[in-house]
Amino acid sequence: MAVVNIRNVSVSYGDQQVLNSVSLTMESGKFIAVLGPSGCGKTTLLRVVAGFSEYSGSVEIDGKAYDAIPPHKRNIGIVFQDYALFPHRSVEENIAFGLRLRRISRADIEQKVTQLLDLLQLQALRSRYPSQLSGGQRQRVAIARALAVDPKVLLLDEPLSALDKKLREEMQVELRQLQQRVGITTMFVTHDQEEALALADKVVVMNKGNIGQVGTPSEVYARPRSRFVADFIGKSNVFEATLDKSEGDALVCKLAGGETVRIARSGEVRSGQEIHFFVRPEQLVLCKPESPAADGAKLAGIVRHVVYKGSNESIHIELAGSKMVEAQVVQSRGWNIGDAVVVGWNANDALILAE
Amino acid sequence: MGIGQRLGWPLLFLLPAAIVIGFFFFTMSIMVRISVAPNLGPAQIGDGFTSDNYIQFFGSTFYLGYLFRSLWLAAYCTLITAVLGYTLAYFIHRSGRRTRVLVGALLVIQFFTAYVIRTYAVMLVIGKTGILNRSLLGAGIIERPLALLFTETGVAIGMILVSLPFMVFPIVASLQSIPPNVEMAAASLGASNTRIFWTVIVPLTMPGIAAGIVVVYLFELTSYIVPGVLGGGYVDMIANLIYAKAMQSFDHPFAAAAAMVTLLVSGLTVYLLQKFFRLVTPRT
Amino acid sequence: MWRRKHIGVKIAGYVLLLLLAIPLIVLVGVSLNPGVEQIFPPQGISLRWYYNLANRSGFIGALQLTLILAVGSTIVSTTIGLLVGIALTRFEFWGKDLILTLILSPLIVPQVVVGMAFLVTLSGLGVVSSLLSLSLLHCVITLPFTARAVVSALATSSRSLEEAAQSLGATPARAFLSVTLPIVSPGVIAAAIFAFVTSFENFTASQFLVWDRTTLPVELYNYVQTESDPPAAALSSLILLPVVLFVVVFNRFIAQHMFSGRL
Repeated sequence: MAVVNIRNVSVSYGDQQVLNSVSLTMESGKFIAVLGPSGCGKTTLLRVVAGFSEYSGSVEIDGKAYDAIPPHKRNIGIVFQDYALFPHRSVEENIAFGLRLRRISRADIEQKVTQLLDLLQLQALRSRYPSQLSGGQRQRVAIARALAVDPKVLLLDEPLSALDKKLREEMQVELRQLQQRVGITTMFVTHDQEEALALADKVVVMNKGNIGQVGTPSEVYARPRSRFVADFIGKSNVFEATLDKSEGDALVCKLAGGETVRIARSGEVRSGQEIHFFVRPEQLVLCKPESPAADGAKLAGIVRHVVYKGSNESIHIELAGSKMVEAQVVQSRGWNIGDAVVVGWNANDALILAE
Repeated sequence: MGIGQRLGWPLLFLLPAAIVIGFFFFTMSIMVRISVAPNLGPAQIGDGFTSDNYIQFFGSTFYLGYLFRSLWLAAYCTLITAVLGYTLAYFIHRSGRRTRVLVGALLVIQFFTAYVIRTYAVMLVIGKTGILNRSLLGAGIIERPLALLFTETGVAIGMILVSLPFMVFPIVASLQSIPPNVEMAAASLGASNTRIFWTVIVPLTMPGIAAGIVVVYLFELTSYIVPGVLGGGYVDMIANLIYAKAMQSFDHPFAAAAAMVTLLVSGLTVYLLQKFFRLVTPRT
Repeated sequence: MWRRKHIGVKIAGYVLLLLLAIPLIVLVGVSLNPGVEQIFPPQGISLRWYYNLANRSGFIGALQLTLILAVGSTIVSTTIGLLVGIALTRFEFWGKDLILTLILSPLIVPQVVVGMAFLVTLSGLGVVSSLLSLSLLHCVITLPFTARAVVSALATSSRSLEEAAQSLGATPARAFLSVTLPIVSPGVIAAAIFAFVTSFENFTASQFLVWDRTTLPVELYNYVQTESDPPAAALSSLILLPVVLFVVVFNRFIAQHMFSGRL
């Protein structure tokens, strides 16, 4: 169990700034997902912690500076995207690799390996070679190998991206349970927001070498601080508006087309200010033109596209000024392309975005 | 952090290579020096500087003849080698696995067998009493043995056969790298086989053709063994001249100058060939 | 895979194969002649000329020298090539492309020019005719092949394997030796074989440096220039034999390397 403190870490290749003074604390035993599009610097951050990337700033583990410690003395477990299993060694030898380097007695190595094979349900595959394993099995071996040396921290670099969707979801559950059982501080790098939300205690959203937001999964989903985070995590309908006045718990503002809408109140705002706010697709309320609408807005639109998704449907609607919004409805009321519709929301579901 | 911080290690690792390659460049520079030194009789090299050796080379149609014969022979032999090599490569590409393994084995045996041996083997075939003449005579196709040995034709046959594997390997490699769906896509759009071959396959294999042609041309331009064995002194090329001047006349300065000319001419032709192929290779 | 349109290619392909195969078949056939003539088909089957080789000290001495040179330069240039590969793929510094270009530069210099350059340099130093000068020459000739093969094998080998080993506690050197080297060893062995063959068959550059001891290709060349009896064919066939055996045994491995354009 270890606490990792990353302070003002910057990395640049040539004149390209890959990490821009990033600071982050990983609490002991927590599962932290670093989420972002490709090229956002998330893998570089992982390599900084592992010691494979040169950086300025500092990395501390349990209060001790690690900046001058080479990778092989850091005792940090890594599971690589391609697993990096040693192809010329069996499952057992892969897992024992780190232990053998530590001059541990043969019996102890044997015991530890058996324990890990049990933990990851790999007993039957003990003497197989990596080429004889399936993707999910390789993944387990890679995790077992990393855990064998009792690392202080476990780093996972998109470990599920090579698996197909069904297996990936199974492995997510397994990975989370394993991490909780072992109780190891874990950093998980991914571009898949569903994965990050499903697994993590804490989500770190990165963009262009900066940390956009840090919070629990429900915080970053429900209260994204920027347009980037709102767009990247889940889908969102973003509107531009001008603030008019506050009215109880809500703010009244005007859209570009002149419609008046009500949104949730937040922070310091003043009249006349240009703002962006967003509403999640599942929070848009659709009704027929003559029915009573939600309290936040009453925008007329036309259904342009309907996507059937089994348990729900997503309805794409064109509003005034050709603005497209997407609504997610659980039970279809039989919306058809071309139907006139009124789009609304509850004022406290529409949230202002910081720029 | 990693391992890349101290420059001492890479320098140490590169030191042995630096000694070997450094010596190579040292010999090249000595050759440049000797090529402008006066020749004071057999194995006697003067201290001064002179352009006599180059003037002697370029001022004589006799010496220039070696250069032009080499350029011309290498040019048409490379062209024939390219056509035959492409055919063989395409054959390998289209063959099933078993034929491919068999052909691969034969080509690799060629590749691993010394030029001297392969050239000598060609001599046994095309010689006056070789199997070619004996079977043609036996079949009544010709009345007198064909004079192939010690003629330019014989040398050309030898050069083509000896250098064919160099042409085949890169072309097969580039044929293999064409995604099979590309051909099917072209066919589905209505292209005939001939059209697919000329508009899809040949352009996509241009890098392989270029690699083969450059290697084969360089090899043939400076051939020594083939003209030596199959030309018997009647079809000597530029490399034979250099050797004879250096080792028989002991005129090192002239031989060095001729070697410099050979180096520059081959460098220039390779450069021009690469430039040409860059123009005709489709951008991807 | 064969369409009717390709029948011409098929015929031409087999004809070309025959053209490549016939000289080698004739060579072996000639070596079996009982008489002094180099005739194919042989007028009988006799190993006379093979036994005769045992008395030819010129051939035997040349074979010895050639093998010493080939083994020595293969070991040296593969080792140097490996060091170059490590330096160029495992360290960060400026000018790597330039260094590789310099190391590969002997490849584009014609053999006759390399031989000439060595001749004038070594005769200036007074050490033309020696095993040392031939060894140096063969190292220069083989190093580009081994360096190129090792660099490309190391550059394409996954860095994450080495990093995984390091994260488990292996020093960079240990990670390289216990993980990367075993994985790239097929490429390194292929490079070594290539270096061996390149050295073994080198004629054009070597002939400038031979003295009363010659290498096998030079000895064979001089022999077929002056004599016209079958011993040269017998010797050539004898050299061909291990090549054929080797290719038959390792065919799949070699063909894969050859056709992938890696050599």
